[in-house]
Amino acid sequence: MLCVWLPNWPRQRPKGAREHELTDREALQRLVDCCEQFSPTVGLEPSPAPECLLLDVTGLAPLFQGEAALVEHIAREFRRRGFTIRLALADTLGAAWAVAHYEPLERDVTMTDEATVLPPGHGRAALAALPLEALRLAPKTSQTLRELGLARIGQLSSLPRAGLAIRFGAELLLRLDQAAGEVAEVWESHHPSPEAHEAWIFEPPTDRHDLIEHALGRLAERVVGQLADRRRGVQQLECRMRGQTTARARFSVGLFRPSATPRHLEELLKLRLETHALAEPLAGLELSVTTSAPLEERQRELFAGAAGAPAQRVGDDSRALALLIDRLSNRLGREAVVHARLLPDAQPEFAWRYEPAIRTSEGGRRRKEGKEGKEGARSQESGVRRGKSKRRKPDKLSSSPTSDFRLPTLSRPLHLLPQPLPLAVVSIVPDGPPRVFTWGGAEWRIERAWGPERIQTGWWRAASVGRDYYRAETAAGQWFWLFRQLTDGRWFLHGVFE
Amino acid sequence: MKSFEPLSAASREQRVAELRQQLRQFEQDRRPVGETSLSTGCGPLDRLLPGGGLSRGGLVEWLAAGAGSGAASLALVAARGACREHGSLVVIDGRGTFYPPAAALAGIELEGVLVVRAEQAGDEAWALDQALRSMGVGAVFCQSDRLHPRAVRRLQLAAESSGGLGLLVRPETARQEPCWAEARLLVRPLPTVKSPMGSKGARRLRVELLRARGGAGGRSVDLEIDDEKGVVCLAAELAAAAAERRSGA
Repeated sequence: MLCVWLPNWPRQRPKGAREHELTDREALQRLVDCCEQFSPTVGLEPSPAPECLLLDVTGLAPLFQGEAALVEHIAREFRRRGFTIRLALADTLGAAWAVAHYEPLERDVTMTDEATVLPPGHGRAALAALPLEALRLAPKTSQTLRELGLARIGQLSSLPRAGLAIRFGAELLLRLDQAAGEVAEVWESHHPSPEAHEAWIFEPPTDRHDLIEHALGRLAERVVGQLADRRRGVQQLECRMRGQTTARARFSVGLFRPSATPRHLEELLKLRLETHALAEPLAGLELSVTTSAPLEERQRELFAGAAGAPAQRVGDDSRALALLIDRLSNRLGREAVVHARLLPDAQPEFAWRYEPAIRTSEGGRRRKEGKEGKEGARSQESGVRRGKSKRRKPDKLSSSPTSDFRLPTLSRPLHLLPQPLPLAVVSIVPDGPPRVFTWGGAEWRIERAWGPERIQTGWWRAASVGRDYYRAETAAGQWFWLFRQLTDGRWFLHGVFE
Repeated sequence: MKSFEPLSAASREQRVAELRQQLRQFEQDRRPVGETSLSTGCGPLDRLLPGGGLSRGGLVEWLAAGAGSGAASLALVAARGACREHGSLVVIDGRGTFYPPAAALAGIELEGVLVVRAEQAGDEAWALDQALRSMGVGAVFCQSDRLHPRAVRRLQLAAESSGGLGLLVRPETARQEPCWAEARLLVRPLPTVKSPMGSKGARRLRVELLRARGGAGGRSVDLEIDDEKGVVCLAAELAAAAAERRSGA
């Protein structure tokens, strides 16, 4: 096992503009991705605030001409990226972690400033000299042990095991055994091995789009074939492109619904490839299925020839929509194909949120399934109710699943400016409705105005908001949505009733 | 070549009617079989449209007379009507200004609405084309002032090929362009009549049929949209009904 420790992790993060948007854990995961060049099994340490990367390098040293060379390769990679690291290679995860954090005093250990390599079988001896904290104990346990005069791991092994378990709980013994390699330790590799994987090598490297597209099509056929035996369809695909130099590019394609149609996948991949500028001829392509899902059973129509028959159209509706969503999302991006969800916020620009139609994370999908279940129940319920109350009020709104709260009773414009636009407005009375405003090079004379609708909210956000909204109508009957800021009396245009 | 000989007024009219019938039959061939027109949910508007409502396999252009005219609201309410039976509504938002709460107020269930945000003009036209070609879509709504006449022609063909329905809201300047759509409507706002009941007035619009395929244009109708309920009705009818109710009370 190899452990790479980034001391003071969040603080030594690069402060680049793009990096800033990632959380600390995500930034660490980026590093995990780049460590995949050294080992196929890479992950983060199992901890709520990880600072270490773990690499399983069992049997890999010969590929790098020895362990020392492997360690040097990894250290150089991190140095190149400007990180300070301590890394350790040992028999077990526990020992590697301990040696990475605390320097052993042993003689026969290969050591440089940033790397320690414990030869096989030396783990126990090296650990004995290390302080107790190297065992990854809960702070309270190590505190108690220190108060009892125990400072080194070696002192623990001379004590009776039964007594230790009773006084300090199972954790202490577990950590000891894990470090010594007597108990296996489970950790999660970041990139679970793909469910299906296919590669294509271009000989010689090519930048011809037709060849690349052909290869993509064949790869799609093969991965679908691999999954077909298990009656599963592709939910998410990852495509990696390898250039002649080491530079690699990758993109992933998410699907709204699992698919086992190679032609559909090929089309989505081509759409993505179009937006990808190839910097150099490609030497290889890899296609892996990162997420798959069971395929839905679908009975085929016997007389499918009668196109346009209403019953059949309805049956194919959701399938056709899923294909459309896939296509749109893959060309325009996942964030551009969205469902709107209303939020109970009084400030107009925060009253809704867009959610991508394709969700990638497991959690997101599960949440969605739960929601759909609830919805189904609710729409049945409202179906019963609809009969009596539809006459009197617009029941569709109040029973719609998106609105768990009351919508504002005043109307809202269909066209909301991304930012309120400052306006020069004349109003006759100081706090009265607007009379004339200029916008887009024209002067708009207001004949009627409805309002004010006062919105005062948002004190928990950076700046609190106090606005008097007016719906203004010009002489010609055009409608605008204006507001006066309560703090300084300035006027803004916020929407147009298109 | 008997058509060279001069026709009497009556026979000419008959001839024109025959030709129009033939033309309609040609056009019907391209339509999916067994499709009836879809109601917009508003009788007077349906009667204004050719074929008595919105029909699959074509575009309807709504030209907005100036900003804040209400054309988009009317088109959206009509789209809601067209999606009532099947399919979801796709909104192509090229300007990034579509405001979903307003759509929800107009009675649209947001669960069934797919919003596509395409900032580039090319992406917008492409997304429109894709959505019109999809069988799973009930109606496509798009407000745009950057559609090229050629692009509109392509969209109409896309809609014809797959039975899609597109509602395009365009500026009034598009009036000069050739019309490829099934119908072209001009929506003008009308000043609000002072409502007898209170401060709130309903939106009043005049919808004029500029062009329609296989039919004459030039007719117009005055409508009222209740923005709170998303209900469209004939302006005159409402006024009469209100007057009646008042006199009865």
